[in-house]
Amino acid sequence: MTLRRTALAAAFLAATALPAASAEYVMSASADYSGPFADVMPNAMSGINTIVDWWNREVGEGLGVKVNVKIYDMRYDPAVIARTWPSILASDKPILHLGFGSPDLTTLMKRLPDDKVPMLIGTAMVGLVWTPDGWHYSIRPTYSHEFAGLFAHLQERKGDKLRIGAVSTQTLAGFVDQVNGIKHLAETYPDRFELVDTQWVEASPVSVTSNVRALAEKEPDVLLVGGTTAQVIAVAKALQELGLDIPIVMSTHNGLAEVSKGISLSELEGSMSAFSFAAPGKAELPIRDVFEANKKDGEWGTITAQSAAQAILALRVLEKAIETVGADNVTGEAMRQALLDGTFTEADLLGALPTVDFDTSAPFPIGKIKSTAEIVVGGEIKPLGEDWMDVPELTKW
Amino acid sequence: MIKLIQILIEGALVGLVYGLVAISFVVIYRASRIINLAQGEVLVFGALFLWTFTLGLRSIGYEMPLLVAIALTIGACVAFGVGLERFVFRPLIGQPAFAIFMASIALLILLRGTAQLIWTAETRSFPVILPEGAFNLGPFLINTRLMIGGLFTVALTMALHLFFTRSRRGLRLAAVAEDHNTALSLGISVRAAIAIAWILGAIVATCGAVVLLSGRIVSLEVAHIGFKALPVALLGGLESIRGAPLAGIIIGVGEALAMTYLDPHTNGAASGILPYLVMVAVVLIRPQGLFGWKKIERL
Repeated sequence: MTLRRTALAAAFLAATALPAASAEYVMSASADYSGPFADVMPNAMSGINTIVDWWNREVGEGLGVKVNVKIYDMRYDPAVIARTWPSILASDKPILHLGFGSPDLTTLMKRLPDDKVPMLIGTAMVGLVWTPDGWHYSIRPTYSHEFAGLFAHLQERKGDKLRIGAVSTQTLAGFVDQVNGIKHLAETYPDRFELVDTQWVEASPVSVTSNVRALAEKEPDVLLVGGTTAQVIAVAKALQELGLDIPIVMSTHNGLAEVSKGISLSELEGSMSAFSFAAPGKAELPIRDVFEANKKDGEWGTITAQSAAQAILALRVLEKAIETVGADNVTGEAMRQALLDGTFTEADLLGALPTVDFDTSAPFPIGKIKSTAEIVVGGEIKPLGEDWMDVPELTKW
Repeated sequence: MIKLIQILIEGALVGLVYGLVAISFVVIYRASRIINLAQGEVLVFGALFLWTFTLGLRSIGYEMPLLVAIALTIGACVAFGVGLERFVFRPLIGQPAFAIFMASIALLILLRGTAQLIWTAETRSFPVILPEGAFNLGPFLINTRLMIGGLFTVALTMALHLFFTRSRRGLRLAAVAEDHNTALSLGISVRAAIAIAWILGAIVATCGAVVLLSGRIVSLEVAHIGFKALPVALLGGLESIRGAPLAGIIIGVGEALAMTYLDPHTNGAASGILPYLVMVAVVLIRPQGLFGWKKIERL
C-alpha cells in the first residue's frame, strides 16, 4: 500500500514537474523543388528544419510550445503561391510564413495585413516593395544595401572614390532596382562612390565583350553583376578575353558558390559575393555548430546559412511573443508585434545575423544595417574579414 | 575607326550564332511550313542531351570519350526530332495554320515542363567543347569560341545549301517545301521528308547550343535565344538557308551598334528591341524576308 502510494506520488510529481506541451503552432514555408532554385532547396529546407527541431527540443519544451514547419513547393511561381496560400491559411493557421523570394513578396504582401499573418523571407529585399506598415519582412536589407556595405569597405580600403561599373538586365524589375539603389548610393555619397556606367544585357547573354570593353574604358574599380549566374560567367570570360583584372561583385542567388558550377574559382580570383547573414565559412559561428550537431540531411553552405538565419530569427520572435502574450495566445498579430518590439542581438541569433531591429517604416532591418562578403582567394571562397561591415545610410530611392 | 570595326566584328560573330539557331527554324519550315516557336526549348533539350552524355555520366562514374558523347547526342536528337514530328505535328497535317501555331506554343510549355521533370531546373556546367579565350588579328580581338562557331555556321550553311540543291534527298525535301500535293504526286514521301526536317532542326539547334554554351552553364532560361533567332529567320526568309546567317550578321551588327551608340541614351532598351523592330518591319514590308520565296500564283 505504502509502495503503491509512493509510486503514485512519484508519478504525480513527475507528471507535474514536466511542462505540458500544450501549445502547437505552425510556421508555413515556401520551397522551390521544381523551379530555378530546385538544386539548392534540400539544403535550404534542411537549414529551417534542423534549427526548428533543435529549438523545439532545447527551448520550446521549456516554454510548453512546439513549432511545426509545413513546407509547400511553390515552384517560385506567383500563380502557385496565389492558389496554395488560401488553403494554408484555412488548414494550417500559420503564425508566420517563411517566404522564399520575390514571388512570395509580390503575391502575398498586399493580402498579409488582412490575413494577419506576417511573412519573413530569407532573400534580400528590393526597393520596389519598400513600403511602410507592411506585414512582409526580410532578415536582410535590400540588395543595394548589401552591395553598399561591401562598397563602403572597399572604398575605405582604397582611400579614394570607388568607381563602380554595373552589368544588369532589364528583364527583371528587381535587377533594375539593384542598380537604381547603387545609383542612389553614388548620388548620396558623391565623394565616396561613382557609378561610372551601366551596361544592360540579356539574362543569358551570348557575349558581353563589347559591354565589358565599354565599361573598362570608364576605369571601374569593381564590376557589379547582381543579376544572373550566366551574366557573371559571361563577364568573367569577357574580362579574360580583354586581359583585364577587375573584381566582380555579385549577390547570393548568383554568388560564388553558384558561379563555381560553371567556371573554375581560379578564374574568379578577387571576386566577391555581398550579403547580410553570416558567411558560412566564418571562423566562429554557433549556428553552424548547432546545424552540424543536429542535421538529419543537407550540407552547410550559403543557402543553408541563409535559411538557418531565417529560422532562428522567426523562433526568437516567437519567444518574444510568448513572453508578451503567453504560450497559449500567440497569433500572427502577436508575432508581428514581437518582431517590431524586439531587438534581436547577434548572440540571440547564434551569430547567424548581426543585431537586427525592425519597425513599420521598412520591410527589413533598420538602424545600423550591417553586411558581409565572401571573396575568392587562392581559388577558394573565404569570408572577407570576420567582422560585419557598416552599410552607409540610404534613404528610399 | 578601329573601335567601330571591332564592334562590327563582335556583332557579326554574335549574329552568326543567331543565324545558326535561325537555320534550325528554316530547315523545319522549308519542309513542314511550321514556324516552331519552341525551337529555343529544342536547343535546351539538345544541350541537356550533351550534358547527360558528358558531365552527367561523369558525375555517376561513367567517363565517356567526347566523340562518343557527341554521337550519342546526335542519336538522341534524331529520336527527339522524330518524336516531335510523329506525335505532335504529324496529326496536324492539313489543319489550319492557327492550330499549328497554337500547337507550337503548347509544345514550348510541354518541353519546358518535361526538361524540368527529367533534369530539374538546376543550373548546370556545360562541357568545354570549343576553345576558350580570344586571339588578336592585327589590332582586333577575336573571341575564339564565337569565331569557330561563325566558321561552322558558314560551313553548315554551304553544306545544307548543297544538300538541298544537289542531293536527291535534299531535292525531295525542296519539292516538299514547294508543295505537299505535288511532292506526293511525284512519289515523294512527305512524312519522311518532314521527319528528316525535324531531325535536322534538332541537330542544328544542338550545334547552336554548343557554340552558345561551351564552357558556360545551361539552364532553362537559355531557351530565350529562340526568340532572338526568330526575327533573324524572318529577315533572312523562312525558306532560305543562306539567308539565315546573313540576316544574323545584319541583326547582330545592328544590335552591337545600338548597344554602343543608342543604349547609353535609352537606358539599354535600344539593342534589346532592335531585333523585334526588324521582325515587325519585315512582316509589314517584305513578309517573305530578304531571300524567302515569293509565291507567284497563276489566276
